[in-house]
Amino acid sequence: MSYQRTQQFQSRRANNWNRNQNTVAFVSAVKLGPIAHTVLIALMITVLGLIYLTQATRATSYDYEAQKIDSQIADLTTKKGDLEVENARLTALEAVKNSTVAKAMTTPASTEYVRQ
Amino acid sequence: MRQSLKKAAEQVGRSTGQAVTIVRRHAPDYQIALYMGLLMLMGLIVMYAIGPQRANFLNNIEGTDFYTTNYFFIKQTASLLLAMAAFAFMATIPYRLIMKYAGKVLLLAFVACGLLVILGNILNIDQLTLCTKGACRWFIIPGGLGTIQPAEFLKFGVLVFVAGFLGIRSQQGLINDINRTLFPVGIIAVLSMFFVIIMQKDMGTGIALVSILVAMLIAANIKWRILGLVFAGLLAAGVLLIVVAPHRIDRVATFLNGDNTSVDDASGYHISHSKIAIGTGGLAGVGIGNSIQASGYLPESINDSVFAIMGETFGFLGLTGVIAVFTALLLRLLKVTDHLNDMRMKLLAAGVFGWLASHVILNIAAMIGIFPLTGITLPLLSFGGTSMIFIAAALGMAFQMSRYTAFGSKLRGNENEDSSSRRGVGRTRYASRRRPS
Amino acid sequence: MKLELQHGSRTRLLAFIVLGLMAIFVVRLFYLQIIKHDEYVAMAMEEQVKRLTIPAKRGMIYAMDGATPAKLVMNTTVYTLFVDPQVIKEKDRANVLKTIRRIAGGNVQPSIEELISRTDTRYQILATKLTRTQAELIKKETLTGVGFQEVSQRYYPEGGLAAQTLGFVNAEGHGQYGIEGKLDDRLTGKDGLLQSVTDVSNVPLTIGRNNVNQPAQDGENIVLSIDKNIQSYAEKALADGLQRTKAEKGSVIIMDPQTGKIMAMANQPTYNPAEFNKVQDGAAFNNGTVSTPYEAGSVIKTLTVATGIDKGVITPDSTYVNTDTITVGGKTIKNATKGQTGTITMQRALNYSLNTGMVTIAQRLGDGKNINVQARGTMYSYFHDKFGLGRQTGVELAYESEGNVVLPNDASGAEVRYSNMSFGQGMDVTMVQVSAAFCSIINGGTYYQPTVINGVMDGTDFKEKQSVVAQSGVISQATSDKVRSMVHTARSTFYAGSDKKGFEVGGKTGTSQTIVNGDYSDDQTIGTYLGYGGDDAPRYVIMVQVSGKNMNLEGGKHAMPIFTDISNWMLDYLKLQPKG
Repeated sequence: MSYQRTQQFQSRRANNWNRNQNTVAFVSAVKLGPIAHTVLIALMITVLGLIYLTQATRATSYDYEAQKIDSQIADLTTKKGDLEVENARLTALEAVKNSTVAKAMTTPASTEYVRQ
Repeated sequence: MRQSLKKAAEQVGRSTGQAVTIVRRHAPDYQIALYMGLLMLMGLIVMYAIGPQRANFLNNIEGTDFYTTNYFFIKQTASLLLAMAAFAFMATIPYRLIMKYAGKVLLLAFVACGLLVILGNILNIDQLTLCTKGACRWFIIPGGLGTIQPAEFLKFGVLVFVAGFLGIRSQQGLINDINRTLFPVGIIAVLSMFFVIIMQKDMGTGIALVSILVAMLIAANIKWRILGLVFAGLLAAGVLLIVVAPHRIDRVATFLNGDNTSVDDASGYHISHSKIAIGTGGLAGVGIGNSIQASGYLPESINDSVFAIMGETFGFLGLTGVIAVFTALLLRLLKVTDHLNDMRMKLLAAGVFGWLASHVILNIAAMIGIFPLTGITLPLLSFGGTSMIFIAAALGMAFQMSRYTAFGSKLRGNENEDSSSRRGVGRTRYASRRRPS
Repeated sequence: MKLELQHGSRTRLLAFIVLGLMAIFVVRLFYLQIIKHDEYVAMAMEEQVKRLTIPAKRGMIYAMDGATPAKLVMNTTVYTLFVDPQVIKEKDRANVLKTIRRIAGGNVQPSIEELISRTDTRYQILATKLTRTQAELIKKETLTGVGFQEVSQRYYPEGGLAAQTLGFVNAEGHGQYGIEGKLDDRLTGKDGLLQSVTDVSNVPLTIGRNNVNQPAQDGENIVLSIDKNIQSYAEKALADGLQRTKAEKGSVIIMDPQTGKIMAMANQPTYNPAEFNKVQDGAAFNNGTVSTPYEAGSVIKTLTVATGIDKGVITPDSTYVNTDTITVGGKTIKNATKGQTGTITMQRALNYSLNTGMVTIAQRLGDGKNINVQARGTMYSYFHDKFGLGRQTGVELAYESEGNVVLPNDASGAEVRYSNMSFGQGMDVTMVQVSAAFCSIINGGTYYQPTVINGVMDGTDFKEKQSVVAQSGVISQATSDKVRSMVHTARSTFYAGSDKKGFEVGGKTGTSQTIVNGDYSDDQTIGTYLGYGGDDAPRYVIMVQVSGKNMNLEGGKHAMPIFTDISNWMLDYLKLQPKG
């Protein structure tokens, strides 16, 4: 009896199976058809692609934002400059001298000094 | 025994004009869908990458905030969904129905083109038509939804009608009859050329139409002698058209002059910049979002020139990949054509091949500077709804055709066995490639 | 041929065509992307990389308005309108010109009809110096072929105030004359550089790897020690004074003797720096107080007296015998004012501006009878080394003159020359030299470096510069007190009624002969007045000079009233308190 068993083992070895491996493997009941494969591959590529892209593409939009802000700064600087010039023009000695306030002023008849 | 059977079958085929075998509907060639999907995805990724750049650039130029960051990506996604719907529709609607209404479709396409001429060229209604330099190519959909290019519809119409017509003539055995076969096709060709090349000044679409027709004529087994005549006529017409329209002479001259043409010339500028874009790409490209040519240097960077932008972004490896996918798709279409028995279906598949091949070849050749610019889109990759929807529709038809292919048995002695007996088990074929042990 | 499976040679042919073409494409791509890669990268770089200069803003110039700085020179952006005659269609020309004329008005160039029709050119300037408002109005019209260029130019809110001190900026952006010329480097700043990959409309992109962004360093904002109120009054007083005397030229310098800071520098003739290109006579650019050396005349007597007292050879009450003439080295020197003969004090000699008294002091510096080498050496060391005559003071203005004081052992530096020098002839000095020297002898003996700069503006912060003591103990405190008292007496002897009561105001006249055809002439004299004012300490030093061709201008008659005018106003302006 025991010889027969030994023969059985030998025949398994003769079948060239690897050791330490299950002799029976269960195939998954879920079968993926070609459409499913296509869709899966497409989805994987999309997800990978989009993950990579989100970090890479945004930079350029900042360039234009920066440019926009730069031109706003330039614009406001010019405006500020204009206002400063206007301010200086209005506070210039000639302008002050000819202002209505200055014209209404009179020279005092005498000046008293306060002693401290 | 075998020989005599074959002879008999041949005789039957000739006398009745009917295919001897009836191939049952079986599983389609999913590779067509796979390649199409891959190309669409690539197009979408490119839109996502350079869309914001383009939007920012346009906003900056026009001083508006009209283009949001993902404007082009969203529009492309919408076109993509529409295109996939068109694909699905054409893949499922029974092809007999398509054949049945082919005449009406073609008529409708001619009417649309005629309407464009009336509204655009004659009445000059700017709200409904979009014209550039006297060439009215687009209808404007009211409500800011976009534009429609009837020339794409015309391609589709010519494809289905001529496929059906030539198929019937072939089955009647009249395929080489010049008066009854070539003459009507010639009239359709001349009429569509009139609309596309003369009125819309769209050489690219003209060449695509010719390619569709020629591909069908070749597949229809017309005698080479007649085909030779057709080619001669086309050559003469082409030379005539180039000589007549000055802007085409410019394009050809630009092309012949190579890089030495002054940058002032628009098409010279276009070609030299597409070459710069492709050349800067190098082996692996500058990387996504790093394309500089897309920021206004290269004209039409997201439409006709998308191949060049992809060259800059993904480099030689990327472009080779794109070409490989296109080649695979084209060969797949040829394979479908090859294995169809019904002449009408065969011609339909051949026409789709001609359509796709002409677009791909003309666009890429122009971008890499070995053929003059024709202003044609790169199918499935370029931004632009109409072109993509109709190409997808055509591919949908080819996809449906792939359900009716018949493959010969690899088993010796069984070459003539009916291939329709093993339905529902994938492609119709007798046995596995492997030899039985 | 198989019947139902028509594996056509034709589809195979098409397949080969497709494969062949695609192979050609790939080979071509290999050529473009791998073999020619560097070439195309170079082409792309050439087109995409732009180098933009970021212009540095020229520093502003501030004047003092009391204790706070106020802008005196600013920058303003004006626009130059240009057209591209090749772009503008012939039928549009009239409309373009009409619009430009309507909005730009006076800024339009002459004969623009001709300019716009020069279609062989691509750039024609039709109007200059448009304001921003004008430019924007024209931009709104959206005319094709019309462009604007921003030009930064100087703006002078106070007009021609302190014109010679400021100088101007020429069309090339270089400072000329005055502070603009002298401190051009500090005012100019350093242009920045932006080298970047740009998009087709020149918007810089961050994509490129070798981007350079070097911000511009704006020029320094310089605060002058000039007080715009004092400057304005000094200019008005000078102009009024010249009008009264009909003199052509005049200069006024006002300094703070406690710091050496120059509070005003007025010059006639003058100009408006905004319209420097309209000036006919270049003399208007000249700052007479620093660039025109002259023989200052009797005002130098204050320095001679100070030297004498400091060396201990005289006191204010020392006496000498005045005969109205004195002979030195065989040459007779006369007094301008005659009749004060007899034994008189040095104070009196100063009061009446007697040349004999000054020569006597010079002799006493030597052996008492001759202005010997020792006397000349002493005089030179005081005048040149201590008081800074004949030396550049280092005031921060372009074209400062050195003047000339002859060395004591020079061939021409003999006794006669030094006797003349004791009363202010025979040496060339500038007003800023004399004023700075005068400051040092009345403030207790500290020579402050004369300066027009009060500090810098860093943003909105005023950073005041400390005054620089060039030399302390020029003369002793005691000497200084005596000299100041003498100068005060010299003025009050004749003009006591002109000054406000309760303030200490002193001054000395000077009327100097000029050399006409190589000889001293009495027919063309320069009038000078040098004085100070203050409460318990001198608060300001004013030096006035008037001159004119073939005119006899005297210190007392012509320069002094201008001094008095300014001095009385200064007492009010500086809010000084009168004594008891």
